[in-house]
Amino acid sequence: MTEWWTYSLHSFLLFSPRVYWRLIEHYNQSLWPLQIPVLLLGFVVLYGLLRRQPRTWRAAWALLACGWFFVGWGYLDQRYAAINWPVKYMVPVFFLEGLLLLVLAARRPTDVRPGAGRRLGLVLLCYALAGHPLVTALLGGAWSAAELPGLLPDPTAIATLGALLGWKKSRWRGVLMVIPVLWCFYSVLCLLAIDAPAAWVMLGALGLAAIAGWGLVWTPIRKRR
Amino acid sequence: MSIHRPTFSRRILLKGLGALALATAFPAPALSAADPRMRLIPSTGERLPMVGLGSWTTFNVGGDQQLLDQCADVIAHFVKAGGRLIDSSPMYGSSQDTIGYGLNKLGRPGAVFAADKVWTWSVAEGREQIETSRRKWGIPRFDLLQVHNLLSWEGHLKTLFAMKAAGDLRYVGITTSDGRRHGELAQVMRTRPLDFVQFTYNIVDREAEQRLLPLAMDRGIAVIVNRPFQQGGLIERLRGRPLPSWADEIGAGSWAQFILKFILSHPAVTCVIPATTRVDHVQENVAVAGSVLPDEALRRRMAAYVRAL
Ligand SMILES: NC(=O)c1ccc[n+]([C@@H]2O[C@H](COP(=O)([O-])OP(=O)(O)OC[C@H]3O[C@@H](n4cnc5c(N)ncnc54)[C@H](OP(=O)(O)O)[C@@H]3O)[C@@H](O)[C@H]2O)c1
Repeated sequence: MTEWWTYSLHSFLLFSPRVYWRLIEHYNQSLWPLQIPVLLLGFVVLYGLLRRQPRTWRAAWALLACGWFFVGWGYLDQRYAAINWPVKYMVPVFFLEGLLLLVLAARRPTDVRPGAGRRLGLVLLCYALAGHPLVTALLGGAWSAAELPGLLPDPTAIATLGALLGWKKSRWRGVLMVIPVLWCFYSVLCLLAIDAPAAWVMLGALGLAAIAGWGLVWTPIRKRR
Repeated sequence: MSIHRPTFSRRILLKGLGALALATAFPAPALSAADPRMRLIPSTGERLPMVGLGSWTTFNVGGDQQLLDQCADVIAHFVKAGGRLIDSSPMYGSSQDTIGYGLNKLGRPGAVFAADKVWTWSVAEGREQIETSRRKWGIPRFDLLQVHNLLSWEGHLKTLFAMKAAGDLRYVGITTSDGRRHGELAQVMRTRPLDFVQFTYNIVDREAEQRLLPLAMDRGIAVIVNRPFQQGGLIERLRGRPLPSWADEIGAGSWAQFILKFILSHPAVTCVIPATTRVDHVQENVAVAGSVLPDEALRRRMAAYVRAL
């Protein structure tokens, strides 16, 4: 792209805020009452990760994987790509994250070391499950504006980050965090372009994830000294 | 490829159309035709209403039925008011589908002048993209195809000129916006037999007056003006500020009309393509065509007034 400095965030925005929010509301309305079981399954994920029994642990990661598959197909491919074509290229990326999570589900449960980082991870997961739907419903002024993990990408990415941060540090966690982090950044840019306050919510979630991630790295270093 | 083109005035003479003055004190725009709402396309002498319709963002509504119907309404009122040129691009999300939907609902009016673009790095994919766009519009062929933002322009222009020669296309053009790559665009205008060129020009973005507008006139290239309202930002900034008392002299009842009249009073401009989601706005915009346009002195006054705000 030439003369890139002449482009602003708004130059890349293909749709109006009105179209974007209506898209989410219509999508939610078309799925209703699927939101209820999806929310319950979200709490199953939380329970499974906390219990760390092989079966519940596996179910938790497998459910998260299903969330990525469903959002990639049901929302990105079938809905959002119609007004925002770059999203079409993100569909396989969402499927890849789902596959990686499935691989993780097949592995043995690992120890979760207690610590501030982990607690922040759990806060993120709980926020994605209960806070984000409420905040988005309030900002949108309607229940149909509520964004749930497993149905829409932002809370799915936040929930995954939270789950991964609550899990013991390993090579895998870093790999699995790349796609949710990239999505969160992309979403922040889109939301900023439509002047949506939800951008700051997403930035807050990313900040919390960064603190939690840094804490997990930092704690072992401190212990080694 | 450097092609000599007859100057615009010679061509018009050759076509025996003669320049008729608009109802304006501006040095008689050579592009004027009998109907004051029309301008001539220099390369053929075909007449085109001077207010068209853009579709970036405004028509990108996906499958939202209510918004699709709203856009179809805008198109219907545009056509009813005598508008013809609708501009789109494969880059504009679902806008082409929306236009197709609107035209279908209208019973496929023959008067519409279908202007679209080719926008892909790959020259080989150009034809396929054009065919996809054509299907979305639901028309037998495009009136005008433009290379969007000069992307891979050399290869795409070859494709478009070949389509024109084969009778699959009526006019060939190229676009840019927001003042980008004017030097390169001028070079293309000098060396290729373009029918149309599209760039940004309005009461505050006036760089085109230096080079592109005179060059288009000299080369006999029709000019489509995009971003007349800076994607709405200009109107937003002027909202709440008073129109000058002398706006009445040119019949500008709103800032939108004030800006459109400024643009259209440049003799090199063929058509301006404001985009809108609203029926009242499309009516307000199209109404500008056919009314009095400012002369050079008034143009200077208009620009100075807006600058001082
Ligand atoms: N490189 C390129 O080829 C290129 C680049 C940019 C644009 N374009 C073309 O040029 C077209 C026009 O540019 P644009 O869409 O960027 O912006 P624009 O036409 O300058 O502005 C569109 C905005 O102006 C508002 N508006 C329209 N008529 C109005 C009126 N009478 N009163 C008040 N507000 C009014 C609309 O809001 P409402 O919906 O509320 O009316 C809309 O938000 C595009 O749609 C596209 O077709 C081409």
